Amino acid sequence: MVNIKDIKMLLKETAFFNALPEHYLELLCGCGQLVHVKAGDFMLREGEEANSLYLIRKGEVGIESRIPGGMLTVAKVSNNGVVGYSWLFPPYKNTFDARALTDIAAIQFDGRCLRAKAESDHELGYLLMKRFAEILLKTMQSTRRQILDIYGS
Amino acid sequence: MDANSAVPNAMEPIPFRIETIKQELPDCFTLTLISPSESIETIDAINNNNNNNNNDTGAANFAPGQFNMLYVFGHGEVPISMSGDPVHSQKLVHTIRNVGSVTAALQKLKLGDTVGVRGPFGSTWPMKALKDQDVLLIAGGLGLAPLRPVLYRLLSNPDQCRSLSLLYGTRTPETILFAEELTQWAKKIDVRLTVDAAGPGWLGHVGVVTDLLQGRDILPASTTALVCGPEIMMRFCAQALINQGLSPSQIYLAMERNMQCAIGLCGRCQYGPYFLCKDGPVFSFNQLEHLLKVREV
Repeated sequence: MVNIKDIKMLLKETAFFNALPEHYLELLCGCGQLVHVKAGDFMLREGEEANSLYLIRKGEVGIESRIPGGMLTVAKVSNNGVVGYSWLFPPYKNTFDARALTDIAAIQFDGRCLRAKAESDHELGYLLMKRFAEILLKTMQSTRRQILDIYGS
Repeated sequence: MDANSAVPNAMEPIPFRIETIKQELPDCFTLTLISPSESIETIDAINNNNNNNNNDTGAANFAPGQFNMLYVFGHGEVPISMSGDPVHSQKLVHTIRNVGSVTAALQKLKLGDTVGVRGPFGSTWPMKALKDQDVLLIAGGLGLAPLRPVLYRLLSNPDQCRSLSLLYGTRTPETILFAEELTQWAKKIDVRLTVDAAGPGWLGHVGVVTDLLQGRDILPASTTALVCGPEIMMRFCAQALINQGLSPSQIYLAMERNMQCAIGLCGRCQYGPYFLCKDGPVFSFNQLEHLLKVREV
């Protein structure tokens, strides 16, 4: 049986959460659970309601989209990476599939729970948003470089 | 390359015969060229042009990073980097992408056809400076070809560096160059591949090549990075390496411009104060940093 102390200890080991004040970590643990996902299983499905944020502890996740004739992987996320941002803003719908490419160990957060805690404590909300903004910035920069087609110039 | 000493023979192409042609990708092929006389004399003539002393290639006729001018008679001449092992001094290996009229003509040539060769020209990857270093080779697309001689040398002489890693990015899994060799290299060194997009069968990373730098345990004090690929890719990589703590003098780039004489006389490849054919193509980033910030018109 995993308890909140276990999750808190794991969160402290991640770059994403380790600088958060102790009391906020405890607060966030209430929104999280440890999960294991089998290789091949979907963690997020395009178009479905977005309620999950995954902090990947072990394994690799493919961010995929359907194209005529099959699937296209547009990014991969592995250890200490974050999967799932669509729970942050309306309409709270996933825009890509996320599929476990290997067996995954992760902390899954309930997006509604995180939003509620951020709304009730704006300092926590600000600290969380700062972290998400940094990840989203890096993701956006990488995506723009992909768009630039830098190997074909 | 000392332009003055090269002048007597540097403008005269020496005929070489195509010994092998390997189709690497639909638009990319590797030619192995050999002297038609199959004697050492032609290679010696080439060697006499190679006065570069910044190499450690033994009996080689070129140093990693250098290029030849390949002349397709009736079509013209193009600068192409060496992609073979420098110690195989009897053969010149060039990996070429069909991107223009001369390279298209090169792709149409058959076994036994003749190609004119001038060279080798240009500066070299800093092989001696790699001693006791963690060497990071970062390649994008066809940029792996000019780095392959470095790989051959360091794999043959593991004592020449402390560790060796290759980070390689391409558009898709189908456009990976030297795929069979990459599999072999991955058994000996740390090889990481990434593509911009892939189907479900792809086991490597998906994302830009700078992603592969994230989360690596880089020791800035003992790391030297050699970066080769399109200019925009090298610029992003250099910035990512600096963000990881490397100084500009620890980063080397191979630049590309339209070259004509290859000995710094015609001015065609001038880049700021440099002639890329003579002063380059390999530069340390601290030589280029200010120039790469200049917006070209």
